[in-house]
Amino acid sequence: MLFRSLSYLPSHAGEVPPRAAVPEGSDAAAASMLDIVPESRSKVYDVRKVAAAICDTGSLLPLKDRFAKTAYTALGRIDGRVVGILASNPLFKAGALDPDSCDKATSFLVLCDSFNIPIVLLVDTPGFLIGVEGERRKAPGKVINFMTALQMCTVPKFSIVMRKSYGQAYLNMGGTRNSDEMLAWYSADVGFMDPNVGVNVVHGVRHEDDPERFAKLVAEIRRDSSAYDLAGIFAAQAVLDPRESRTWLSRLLEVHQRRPQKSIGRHLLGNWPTTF
Amino acid sequence: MATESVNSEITGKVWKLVCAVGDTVEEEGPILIIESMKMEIPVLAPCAGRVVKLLVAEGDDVAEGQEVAVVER
Repeated sequence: MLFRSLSYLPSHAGEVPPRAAVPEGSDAAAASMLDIVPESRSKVYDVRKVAAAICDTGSLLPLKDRFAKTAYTALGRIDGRVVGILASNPLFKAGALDPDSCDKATSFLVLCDSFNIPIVLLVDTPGFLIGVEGERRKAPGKVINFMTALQMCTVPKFSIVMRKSYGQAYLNMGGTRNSDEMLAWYSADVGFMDPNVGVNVVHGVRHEDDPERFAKLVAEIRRDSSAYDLAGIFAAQAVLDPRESRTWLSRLLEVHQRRPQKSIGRHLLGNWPTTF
Repeated sequence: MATESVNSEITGKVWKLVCAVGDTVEEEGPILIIESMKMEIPVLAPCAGRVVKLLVAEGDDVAEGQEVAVVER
């Protein structure tokens, strides 16, 4: 296990992690993406299967797997190149990120940036879990720390919005230029909150009170929130078929090796405390 | 035999009971489904075993951290 863990890391801070051979059949799993992610927005799935379909076969090394399961963090390889996968997992709390998830994500970002590991963010989250318990556990501060850590990462950062990406979580998971490349599946839905909840908040209308008006207002709020709307204002570089995710990421990893320093970061997080 | 508490990770309403008392479950297998934030969120078994108690019924409101079932290893 120790040798396996070290194989994802460079020998020193001035080099990129070693590239490994690609196991045969690694491209095949991406074709199953449509079977992994349900078409219905109300159904959950396990993002770990998405990560496995994107990465080289057997390359995923989950970190802190039993802690804060809403956030999935793992080292993996795409086309032999090491990446850090940070994903919201809808299987747990519908993918809503809680204070522990923020801590887990922040320390993972620091790890990746420190060892020149490009970061891949897989996004399907209704936002952050706040409320009284969240306040007691310093959720707002942890959320901002998480976002700031992402902004200070200078390794390549690629974000894929798979389905939902609402509110502040959109920024924390790579939106508004907090990533170098933003991709969106055609099922992506970006907004300030779930449209069904948003109608109640903005207009004070509930479905049970006036279903017809409710549906009209949902459609109105939903306007301009699709993947194509995101791409139309250049907030997403491409709209993808989910099955193309691995191919796109592989190409982007290659392109970002052409940076002057390849994918070696400037290590702005060198003095970052990973607790708050 | 050791027992493990199964707690809801989220506030919501019990939408469907997937298991009955006496059923065997795998680790991370679904025991019941909670509706919250317009999503169907499964409550998963913390370990493989047998469901010995179901503490909620369909339609019940549940709070975050509330015990909803007990599984015997």
